This record gives sequence, C-alpha cells and structure tokens, in this order.
Amino acid sequence: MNTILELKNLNKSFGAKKVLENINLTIPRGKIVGLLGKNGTGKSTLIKLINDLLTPTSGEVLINGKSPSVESKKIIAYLPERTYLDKSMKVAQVIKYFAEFYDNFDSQKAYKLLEELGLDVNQKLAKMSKGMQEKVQLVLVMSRKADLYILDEPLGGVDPATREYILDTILSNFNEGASVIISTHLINDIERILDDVIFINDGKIILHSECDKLRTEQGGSVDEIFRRMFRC
Amino acid sequence: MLGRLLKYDLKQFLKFLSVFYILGLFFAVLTRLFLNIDNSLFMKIVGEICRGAAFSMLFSAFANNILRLWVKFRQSVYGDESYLTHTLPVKKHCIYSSKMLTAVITAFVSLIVLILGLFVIYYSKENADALKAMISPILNTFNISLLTGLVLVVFVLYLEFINILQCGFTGIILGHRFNNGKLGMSVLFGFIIYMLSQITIVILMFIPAIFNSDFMNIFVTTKAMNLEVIKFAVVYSIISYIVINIVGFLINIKLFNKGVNVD
Repeated sequence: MNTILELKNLNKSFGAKKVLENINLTIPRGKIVGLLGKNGTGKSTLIKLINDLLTPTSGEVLINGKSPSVESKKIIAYLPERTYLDKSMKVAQVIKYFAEFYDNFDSQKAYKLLEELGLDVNQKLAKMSKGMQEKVQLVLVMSRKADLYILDEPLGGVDPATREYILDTILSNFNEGASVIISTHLINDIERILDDVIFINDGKIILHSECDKLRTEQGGSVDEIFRRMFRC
Repeated sequence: MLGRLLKYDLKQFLKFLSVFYILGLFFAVLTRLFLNIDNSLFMKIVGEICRGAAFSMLFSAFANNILRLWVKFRQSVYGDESYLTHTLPVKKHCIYSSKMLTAVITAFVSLIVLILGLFVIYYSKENADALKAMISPILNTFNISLLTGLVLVVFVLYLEFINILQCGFTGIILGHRFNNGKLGMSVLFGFIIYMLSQITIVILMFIPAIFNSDFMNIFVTTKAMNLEVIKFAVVYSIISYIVINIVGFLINIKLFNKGVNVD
C-alpha cells in the first residue's frame, strides 16, 4: 500500500467550538511533509487525532488502511510538543522501557545519538533542562524503524545552533520508505528538508502542495508564501 | 503487554511507598523496644513519640496511596504522560487493567504492612486474649478462629477500599469527558458513583430480605439480630462487594475503550 495516512471527512469539536472541519488528506509513503499554520489553528489537534489521543467527532483516520489501533501504534513514532516521560527515570531506563514496548526500537542507535548530542544516559530526566529532555525524546523517536514519524514542533525549545543538527538527525535517521510529518511555525528552518507542505488555518486545510511546485507557481520561498497568506 | 505495564506501574508505586513502609516498621520496632525496656518516664516518652511516628507513617502509606493512585491515573491517562501511555502499542483495556491491578496490589501490601506494624507494636498474649474475649461471641457463632475472624473483617474493609478507589477512577474518566471544569466534574462524578455503589449494595442486601423475614429485621428493627442472620449478612455483603467491584471494573473498561480526549 502506497498510502500511509488517510483522513476522511474528519471533524473535531470541543463542545460548541469546531476545531477541525471536514479534513480530507492523503499522505503517501516516502515523503517529508510540513504541517504549517499559525498557533491555535488545529495542527496539534490533527496530530493528536492521528495518534489516538483524541476521539474524532466524526470522520475517519486510517493508518496503513486501518483505524488507530495497537497495530497502527507499532508503526507510528510520535514526538509530542511537550515533555511526556516519567521524570523520575534515568535516560538509560527510558531506553530500556522503549526497547521493551516497541519491537522496532534500536537501543544501539539511541545510545549513539545520545552520545553525539552529549547527553548522559545515567542522568535523571528531572535533573535535565527542558531542552535536553526534548532532545532525549527526539532520540527516542528517531531510534525507531517506524513507517510514519510525526514530529510536533521538534525545534520549538531548541537553540538555533542545535536545530541544524536535529534536522540532519531527522533526515539521516528516518526509515527508508517511511513518511515524516513535521508540524511547526519555524518554516524557514525546516523548508530545506520538506517535500510537501500543508497549510492549515481555522481548522481547515487551505493548501496541500509539493514544495517545488508551490515555489514555482507562487514565487518565493515557502516561508514567504506562508507570510503573505497569513499576514495579520 | 499487561505484564510489562504492570511491572512499571508497580515499580513506580512501591518505590514511593517503600519509604513509608520502612519508616513505619522501623518506628514500630522502636516503639516495641522503648516501651518494653523499662518503665522509666524517659523510655515511655521516647516510646510514645515512636508510636506516633509509626502510626503516622503506616496510615500515611495507606492515605497517600489512594491520593497518589488517583493523581497518577489522571497524569498518565489525561496529563502529560498520557502522550506516552496512549501511543504505546497496547490495548486500551490493558492500560486500565494495569492501573486497577496496581491499586489492588499496593492497597493489599499497604494493608499487610499496616497490620504487621500494629502487630509489632501491640502484640502480647494479654492483648490477644483480651481481643479474643471481646469478639468470641461472634467467632463462636461463625465457628471460626480469631485469625479467620480478623481476616474476614479486614477483607470487607479492603473490598470497600477498592470500591472507593475504583469510584475515583470512574469519576476521573467521566469528568474528563467535559471540556471545562474537569477536576470539579471528576470529584462530583466520583462522589455520585460512590453513592450509587453504596445504594446498590443496600438494594442487593434487600433482595434476600424480601424472602426471609428474619433478614428483613435488619432493615425494619433496631433489635439485636439472630447471629445466624448476621453470619449470612457478612458473607452476602462480601459477595455483593465483589460483584460491585467487578461490575465497576467492566464499566470502566467500556468507558475507556470508547477513547480518550487528553488535555
């Protein structure tokens, strides 16, 4: 199957407030897709729905042709925008935890990436800064041989010097044939690695295009096009 | 996968509770030592301080466990840690079962440690005889030993404790279906569910009373009961509590399987 993710007529409301409206989207394998939009436009809600962290009001989420389930969770590697690990654990314990639960987790790769980032595996997460914890989480995600990587604001809490390293880490470590969805508003930083781009505004997808095609058709970089479209 | 989840959940709880267990038992032993060395005022004062510390630790282990189980449940199912909990490749019912089994096991261990602590502090032949004399009429009716009698009483309390814990979990699950005031709604739902469970217990107890006039006396008179009736009431209440806990567990699994909306 060439499609890894399909969303059909997806809606999500919180009470009377509609957060996502009639989302239809298909993501093929082997693509790096940027999910771009201003703050509070529904990017994280969309990602949570794909990861079974929210229940859709209506519509369907299909991962590899199936609804979110144990099987879909085996093939999705998700990096949330917040720190979610048990802070009383040491980094080495977290690696062991991931190795126990995910069959596709490569502990050796995780240790190698942690060493490259200068992180101490014997340090407790509680003793680490938020930025360091986010790096640990990124390492955990990129050490899985997943079919779909979903990264929600992977550059959010990271200093500019490390951003380049993180983008290279994503590029050089994601599984061949897998797809990556990156949600961010730091478009300038990630533009160079994107194949496709999705613009989301007020809970609706307003644009889905290949990056090169978009640049040619509209003139300028994706960042510039985004700024033009969403100028306040 | 349930085994792996349970291993981590238990490890996390027992690591925290072990501090209370060790300190509680340590002070229990000190109490025993200081109150038995001699009858001097100094030893009595030190012994009483140790007894206070032992009680504080042993009961804190129990009370802290309840609060921590609820707080941790909310954190790992709806809070920051839920981003890991719900993306692990495990079935939803395994997540709830692991939390409930952790509650059942840690409550049991806390209870055993509490009993052990009280035993260390208070056990003597005279105290055992006094206790036996106090409850011997009931023990004779049941034709059971002192130990079995105590185990039965503690078991009923334990089942009630598990029921309270589970009502709390149900309250958290139902409260989180609302967008606003989740905490308030969780407390309100927890209380309502607990009251409903207690009403159900009373209804279950009332059913045999319809068919047995002696048993009906429990509801309609304050006169002393026939001991056979009390015996039946104790056994029937244990069965009712077990049924209520199992039904509560199945309802929560069903609610959980409907999906979550994390914060």
